[in-house]
Amino acid sequence: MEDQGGQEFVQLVAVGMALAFVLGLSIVFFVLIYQRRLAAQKLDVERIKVEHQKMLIHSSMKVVENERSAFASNLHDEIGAQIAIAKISLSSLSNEALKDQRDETIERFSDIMDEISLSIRQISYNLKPPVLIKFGLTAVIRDYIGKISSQTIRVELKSTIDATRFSSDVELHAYRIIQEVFANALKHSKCSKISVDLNSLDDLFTLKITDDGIGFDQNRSTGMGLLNITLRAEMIDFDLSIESSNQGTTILMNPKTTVE
Amino acid sequence: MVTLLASIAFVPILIPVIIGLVKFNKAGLAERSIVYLVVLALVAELISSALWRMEMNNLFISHILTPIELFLLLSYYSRQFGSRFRFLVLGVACLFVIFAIIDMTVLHSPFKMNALAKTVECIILIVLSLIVWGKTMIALQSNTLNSTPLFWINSAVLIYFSANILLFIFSLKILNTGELAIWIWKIHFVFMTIYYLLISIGLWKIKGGKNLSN
Repeated sequence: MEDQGGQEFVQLVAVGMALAFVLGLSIVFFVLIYQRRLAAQKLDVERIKVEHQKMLIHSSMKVVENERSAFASNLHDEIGAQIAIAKISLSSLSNEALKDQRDETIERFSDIMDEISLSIRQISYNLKPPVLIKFGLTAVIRDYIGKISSQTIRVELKSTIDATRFSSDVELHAYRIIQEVFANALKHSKCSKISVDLNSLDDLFTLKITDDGIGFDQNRSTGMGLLNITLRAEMIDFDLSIESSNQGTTILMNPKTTVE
Repeated sequence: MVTLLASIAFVPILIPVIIGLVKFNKAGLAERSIVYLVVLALVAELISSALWRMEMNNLFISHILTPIELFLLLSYYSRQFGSRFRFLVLGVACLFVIFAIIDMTVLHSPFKMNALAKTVECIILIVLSLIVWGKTMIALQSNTLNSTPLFWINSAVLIYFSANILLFIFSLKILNTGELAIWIWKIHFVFMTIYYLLISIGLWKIKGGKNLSN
């Protein structure tokens, strides 16, 4: 009887040992699997970051190339053509047969020079608007809105930062973002109204652009516009969020340092 | 069968001893304590077997080996933590050595199984190995966790001491069950083999230079 009790006791201890062994083994496997999953997640995040960086670099290079192309095209199509006409006018001055028309030619030459001067000013304005340099972000947006507002599209600007100045980088990139957003809205969204809200936040501002257009699918968007906007927002340390539906699109920009 | 078991009991320990000696020069201070531990365990196993063959009581060896074993394992673990925690771990090791001496000389006879000391040792090592999993292993966000000696040595400690804690708690009672005790010690032999195999892998993973265990 005592032997049987002893046997049962030993069996119980053996089962307990086996269970404890399995438990220890399970902890080891759990740690291994859990840790590998963590490492895999970390790798995924790193991979996504690298891909994002690559995309941004590609985008920035593309933006620079596009701007160069636009600049070259402006020089060639406008200034180049006008200088060619001016040259012809100048040549005609030495032509004896056209001596009677000298005054008229000089006047035409002067007009061409004015046009060239205007074109250069326009190109220069597009590269860096003087209003932005002199009066800041709100003023340049107001100026820009004045140019694009029409009977079909109503644009509203509300700003609490009127005369506040920010670093030239922040002002320029914010302005370019607004230009890009407006260009997209005007080209694709079929909107009738665009609202721009600029609100002061600490030393910076928040920017909200809303349209009442048909929206777009962000996942299927392949254009450079969105990348350009994202890149510029990153460059000035702003977070950019885009919400789009068939009721319209809202683009919101907040300084990265701000905790909401 | 018992004679066979006693004859081959040193074999699982011989493997980490050989690997440990081969890798000794590349090992850091932490891993060297594991090498000392396996060498000591081999010596103790050989003396135990010899005494058993001469039909002499060999249980006093466990009384001597247990505090040294814990001290070496704790000195290995102490190097996985910052200096504050390191002193705490070494403090525990010193306290345990004092406790084991009192247990051997005052509380129990050195010729009886040191069940209490072994149980306390198990608890300390299980807790410590779990802390190491939590603090060191999970923080190490690398895909090569199982290429570090710490992973294998810590696994060995956790699996062996958690599997044997019941055996040590009830060892005095089990020893009185005569033939049945041998059956349990066979199971212990299996766990011991796994323990030393995992330690062997851990020692084999020593790469030299500054690694996790240094």
